[in-house]
Amino acid sequence: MNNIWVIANRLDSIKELCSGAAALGGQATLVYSGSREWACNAAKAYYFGDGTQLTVAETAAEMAKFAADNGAELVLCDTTQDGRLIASYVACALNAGVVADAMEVVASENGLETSRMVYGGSAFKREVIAKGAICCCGGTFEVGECVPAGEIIDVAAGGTAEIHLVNKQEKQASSVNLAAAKKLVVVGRGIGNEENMELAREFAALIGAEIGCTRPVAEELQFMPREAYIGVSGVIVSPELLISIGVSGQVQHTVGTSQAGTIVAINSDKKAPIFDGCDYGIVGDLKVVLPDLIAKIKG
Amino acid sequence: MKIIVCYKIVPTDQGIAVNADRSLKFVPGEVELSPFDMNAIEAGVQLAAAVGDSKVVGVTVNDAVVENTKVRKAALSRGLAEGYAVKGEGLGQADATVTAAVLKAAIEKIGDCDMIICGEGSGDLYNQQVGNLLGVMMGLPVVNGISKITAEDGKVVVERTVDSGVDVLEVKGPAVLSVTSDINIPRIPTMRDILGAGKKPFAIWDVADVAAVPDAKTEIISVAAPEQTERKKILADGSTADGLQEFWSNIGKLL
Repeated sequence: MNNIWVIANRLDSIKELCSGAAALGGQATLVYSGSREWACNAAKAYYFGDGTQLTVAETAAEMAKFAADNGAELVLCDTTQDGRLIASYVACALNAGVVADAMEVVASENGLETSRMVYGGSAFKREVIAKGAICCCGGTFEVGECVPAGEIIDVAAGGTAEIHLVNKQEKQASSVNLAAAKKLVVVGRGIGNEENMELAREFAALIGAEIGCTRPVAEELQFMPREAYIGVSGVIVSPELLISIGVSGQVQHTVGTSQAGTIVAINSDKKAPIFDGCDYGIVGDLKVVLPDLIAKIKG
Repeated sequence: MKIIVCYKIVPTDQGIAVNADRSLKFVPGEVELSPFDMNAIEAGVQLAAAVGDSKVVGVTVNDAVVENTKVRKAALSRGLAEGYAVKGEGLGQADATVTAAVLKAAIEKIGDCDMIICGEGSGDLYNQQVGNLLGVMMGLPVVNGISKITAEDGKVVVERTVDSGVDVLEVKGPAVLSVTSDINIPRIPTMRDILGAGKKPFAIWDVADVAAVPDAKTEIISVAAPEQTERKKILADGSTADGLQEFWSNIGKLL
């Protein structure tokens, strides 16, 4: 399968999506903005600038049009807001389709076969897309050896008349990629307070796990940022080991994490639904269980 | 200013059941206004109030469920002046490109639209695509990920959440703005709002009178609940030292 392009603006996305495109079709063509040297695992890369004077909100349309005008039939994007926007432009430029948040992308007779979660995580939808864009969740493809792109061609981005960047408010860039984490600690509402959050953070750090949370912890308690929210409307994960702390286990969240290899649950309520979906669990107070585990790991 | 807010009617959590063959069954009547669209309606209403002399109009596309009066009132009670629904078989599970095309036709039929606001995605399929596609198809500027909208003379200034922080963008309308769920806390309709909702104009159009429905652009193979992974369910008692030790012996090597 030829003509699989990648349009992305983050190094981790570029690395993964180009590896994926190459694995699916033998050659990847990349359209990107950001740092010029990010171009890798692509035969040809088209650089649309550093993304600071003109942000992707202003260049998404022309990046998509460029790919469409130059032979792209299928385009892989990431699941950032920019990736979703680009995917929409690609779908329209090609008068074709878009698959959002694909967790699996494999070659099939008539295009690419994809799988994504729907209905609050109750089900998976499998579909084949012959032409258009696919927003791929992080961790969908194996990241190959990073080889610098064969050729980088500079393209002058024009922006649009109707959208104009006024100001950028920086915040610490999150380098955590929950979607690709092999070990994951998930904190639920049962965590209760900041002091217990610290215990959870210490535990996660000790075992080398990333830390995410359920919706209430991000939105109501605000102990963790929105990017840490795992579940259908947040990050979609499939770690080898998932340890949930103070998570009740309602459907919405558990199906989002049901693809984990081994699930461990810590909860004080023996009737919590989380225990029906775990391999190992402990019914107890996390203020007792966590320090005990921490001591045993260190000891 | 005429602000159009697109909203969707989706199954509630109780509205989805899994059949023995893992296919899904939808319980009739178990539907609700998609929670993300409550933020969109609220954003529209707040923008209308800020601009003054404006109204907010709701538009939705779905099958016969658009006739459900409870959901109609739920939407209209949140500050919409009037609503329009396009009814067609299968439109509730349609390809995002199809939904966007039908919405475009409906909005053009309504006419005189100055701004379009959408939620980040629908509560059921959550593609996060329809808002963007709608704008691109209409040839309007499109911005997604919006956490704040401020009206200024002849334009809006929006805050867009991106990886590295927040970008502040000026957008010349008409435009399609997709807002995130942290943009606002939707108002809770009062009894008066709900009673008043029943009197607001609401038109239901048959899709045949609105648009030629395009073909789906992907081929659906299946929509099914996952195989239940057999889980071991080995539990320990965390109130005793023995229980803590048992738990450790189970999971220690996995860490």
